[in-house]
Amino acid sequence: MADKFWVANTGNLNDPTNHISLTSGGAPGAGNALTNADDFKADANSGSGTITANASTSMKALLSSGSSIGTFIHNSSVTLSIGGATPGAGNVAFDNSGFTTWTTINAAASILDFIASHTTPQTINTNGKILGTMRLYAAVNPLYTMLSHTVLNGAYQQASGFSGSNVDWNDFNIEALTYTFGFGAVVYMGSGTVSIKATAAGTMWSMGNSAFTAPIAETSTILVANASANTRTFDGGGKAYNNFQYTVAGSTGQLTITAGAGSNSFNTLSFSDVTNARTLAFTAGQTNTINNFNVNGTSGKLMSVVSTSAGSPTTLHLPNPTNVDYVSFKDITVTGNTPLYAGANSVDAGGNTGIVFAPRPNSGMLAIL
Amino acid sequence: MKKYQVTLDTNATAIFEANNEAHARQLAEKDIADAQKIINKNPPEIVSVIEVTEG
Repeated sequence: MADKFWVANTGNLNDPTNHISLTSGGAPGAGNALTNADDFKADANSGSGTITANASTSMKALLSSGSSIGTFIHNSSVTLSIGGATPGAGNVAFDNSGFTTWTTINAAASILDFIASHTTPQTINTNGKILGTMRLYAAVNPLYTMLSHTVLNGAYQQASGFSGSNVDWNDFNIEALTYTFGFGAVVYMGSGTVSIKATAAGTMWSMGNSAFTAPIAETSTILVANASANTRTFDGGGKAYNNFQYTVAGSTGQLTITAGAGSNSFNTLSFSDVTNARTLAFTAGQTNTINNFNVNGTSGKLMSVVSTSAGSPTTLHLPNPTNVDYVSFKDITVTGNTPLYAGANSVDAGGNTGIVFAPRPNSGMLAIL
Repeated sequence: MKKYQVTLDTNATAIFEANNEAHARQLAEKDIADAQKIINKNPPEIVSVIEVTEG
């Protein structure tokens, strides 16, 4: 266990001979290569210029508070594996506050792994800088707490195999291309916005079905952030979510919501587009409970709500009175506070139960009053 | 039905509704076995099954 310091200005992370010292501002040495027992520190005596992570490297923690080095470059095909048998100093796993610039060369292949093998909670401060792919997993369950908005242009992956991991997003926003949660992953989603940036066809959110895997939704909002013509899938794993929003304008791509082997629930599901028609599909034979079903189209631009399999209905359990308009329904069974009133401009495309294709009868009372 | 918290040697926990402790353990073992079909690695061990509330 050691502190290892960056020294002597610009260089490569795998060059201890010229750039890594056992003391702040001290002499570097060939024997000072980083291991997962070491806190790697860039501090006021590191010189100026750039650190380039040019080869995959292990360290116990990456600490840049007070760094005189301005830029850290994370090359492609380089994995920085952060974590060891004990926590970093001050229980900090990653502090990116000291670098002015963090340059990610490849969103998918510039990877930050958090792999602590102890149970002491630690913090991660990305300082809002744009990172590549982040993977958090461990042999036991450490709790990682974010100290800033996390911005990933690559994937967010939590847990791998049976490793498990607990992460608290700590009320900060988080952005990533896709999200994957494996067995034993627990995420405290807080009050922030969780932006999904993927535009490619495929699964953009994958939550494991296991009872040991859990999103703690709190008051978070999951946002489909970018427009796309492709079909994207949200696999909720049969878990409970707060708000889910796909309202980005000009996005023609279908959203498919699936629930693994269980039933998802949402507090509010918002689905609309002011510029075009779009389809919201739910997996046939599954049930999604939605407290506030906020799905509306506009004239000539209907939102289609369908089952993924024609002729095989999917169930929407709506506990609250629900009115919509300009929506085409097909193979939808509504339960709960029925009927759903679909307004004067919606379309019955067949196979529906629990939906009245008319305005709610007394909906004009407020206008009279 | 009662609620039981099952803890694994990875420190992962989950709540199962079950008739008794043995039933909760059985449900957890099935959950882990289902995951193992996908993950194909050595599964974690159950280290405790504790009743948390009356159902």
